[in-house]
Amino acid sequence: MSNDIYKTKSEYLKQKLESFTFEPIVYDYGTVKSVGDGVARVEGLQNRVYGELLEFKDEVFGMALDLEENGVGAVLFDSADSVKVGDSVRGTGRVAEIPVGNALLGRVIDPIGRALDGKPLEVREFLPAERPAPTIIERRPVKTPLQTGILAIDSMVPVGRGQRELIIGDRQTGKTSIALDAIFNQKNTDVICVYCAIGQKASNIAHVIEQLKKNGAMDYTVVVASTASDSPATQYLAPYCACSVAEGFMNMGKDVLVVYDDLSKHAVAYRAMSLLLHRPPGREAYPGDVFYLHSRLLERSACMSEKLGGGSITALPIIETMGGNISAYIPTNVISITDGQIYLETELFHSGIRPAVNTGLSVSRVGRSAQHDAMKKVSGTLRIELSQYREMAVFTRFGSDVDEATAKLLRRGECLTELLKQGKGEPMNLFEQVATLLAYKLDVFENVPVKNVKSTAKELLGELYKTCGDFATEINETGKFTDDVEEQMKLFMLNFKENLK
Amino acid sequence: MREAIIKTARNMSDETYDMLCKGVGKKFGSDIQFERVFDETLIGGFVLKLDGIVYDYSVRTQLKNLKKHISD
Repeated sequence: MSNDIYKTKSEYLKQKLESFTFEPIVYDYGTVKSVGDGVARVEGLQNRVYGELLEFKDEVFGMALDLEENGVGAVLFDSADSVKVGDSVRGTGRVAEIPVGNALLGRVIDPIGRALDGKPLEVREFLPAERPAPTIIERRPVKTPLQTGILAIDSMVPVGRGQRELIIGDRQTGKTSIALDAIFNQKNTDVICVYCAIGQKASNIAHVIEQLKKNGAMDYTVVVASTASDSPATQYLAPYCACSVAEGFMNMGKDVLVVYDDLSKHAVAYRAMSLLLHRPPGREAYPGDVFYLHSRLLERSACMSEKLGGGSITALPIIETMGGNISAYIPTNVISITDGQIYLETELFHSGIRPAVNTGLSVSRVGRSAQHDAMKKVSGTLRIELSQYREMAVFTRFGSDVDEATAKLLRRGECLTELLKQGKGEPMNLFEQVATLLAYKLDVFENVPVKNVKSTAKELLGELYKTCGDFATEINETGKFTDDVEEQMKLFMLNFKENLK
Repeated sequence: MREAIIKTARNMSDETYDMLCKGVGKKFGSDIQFERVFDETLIGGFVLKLDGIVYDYSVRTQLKNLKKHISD
């Protein structure tokens, strides 16, 4: 038995040795002329490609970004300590690449493609980090909804597969939570998620990964992480790499959700890099191509035509604003690139309305056509009612005498605000969302005190599951809400309302 | 005058080195000035640096390639 193994092994070795050919290795080389602040100037190295990887000593890599007549300017990915003046630099002939494929699921990698979770990464397939976006012909309109499981978003700012929906808000308003909830809600669906951390605190990234693991979301998620201590070049590369990972899955015909957390830090990293490369600063010291920086990234999100497998990339970029200022440079840029935004507000967050979505400023430019029929049926007038309520609530804050119609508007508004509140990691499926909104429409909670609305709604859902469980599966599977089902649910709810008295 | 650097291990004889220089001159032009550098880590063979291009004929690199070829 063991002889056989030796035999096959020696056979294998023999075969390998026979197929090996002695070939010289020929490559371009240059010499480091100056190095500092993560940027190296290299003399020599003719015929470089923009964005090509350069190999310095000791496996330190850099990227050629400034191509000049007799040298290149390169940014270094790792610490520049080991790179010295006079070192020779080797051109690798390839641009920055990232591993792709199913082997990445559940893994944490850095933008250079190294595993960060201590296990070896066995991948054969690679894609360049920078790729052109799909062309017009290759796309199809966004039509399928992507359920985030958050009632306020799925009902009023729906997100479709292939859409780019910006999550924008000040620090500590729950931006990452919304994105993570959206990832958790993809459990048991066919959607694959990519979470890209750009220049974040390592402790935050660890926390996110822990949450993903706790919710069983790691099985269908890839984390591409660059921490605040990584070089600006690494941070700059991170979202492009995450997008390539997503494209790897999209090309297999899968639907992918990518979260870029966050693009403000990405812009800052690019600014640092550009200033160190002596590119002229523009507004807020950002370089001239900072718009293109984000537009070429987000343009790669797409809904592919059936011919090309019908996959899609949905992007949830995150932008952190300062003091609620959405008219700063980077926020306005990204707002204009994306297909809508979810605007989170500090005041709402602190008054206990979580998720702190400002429904007035939040929009979805393509989501409506991608909403489930069932949701369309019950969510039609929500936005108007909510904004009327907000307006009236401000107006009547000091007065006590209001007429009956206004009182009703205020009461219903309070009730809706209460219903839209949702804790972290408590996603609602389509049936629960539709039922809740139908109950609101029928004013089931008319005589329930505001503080009890949420618990009563929960009770109602529990009862509904008991008696109309079939409807739940039907609605969740088909996304349709037939008149027949609606009628029966209406009857049940009115009955429930009677019993509340 | 162009400059070329030839790295060899110490085990290469001077005659072989001279032959090598002649060969390189024949291929790339006769106006080349050679500089010899010793590098024991090459084990054998030589590495030629000329006009910003490296031609690596060292035993070290061949062994590295062979290792990669077998483990692939």
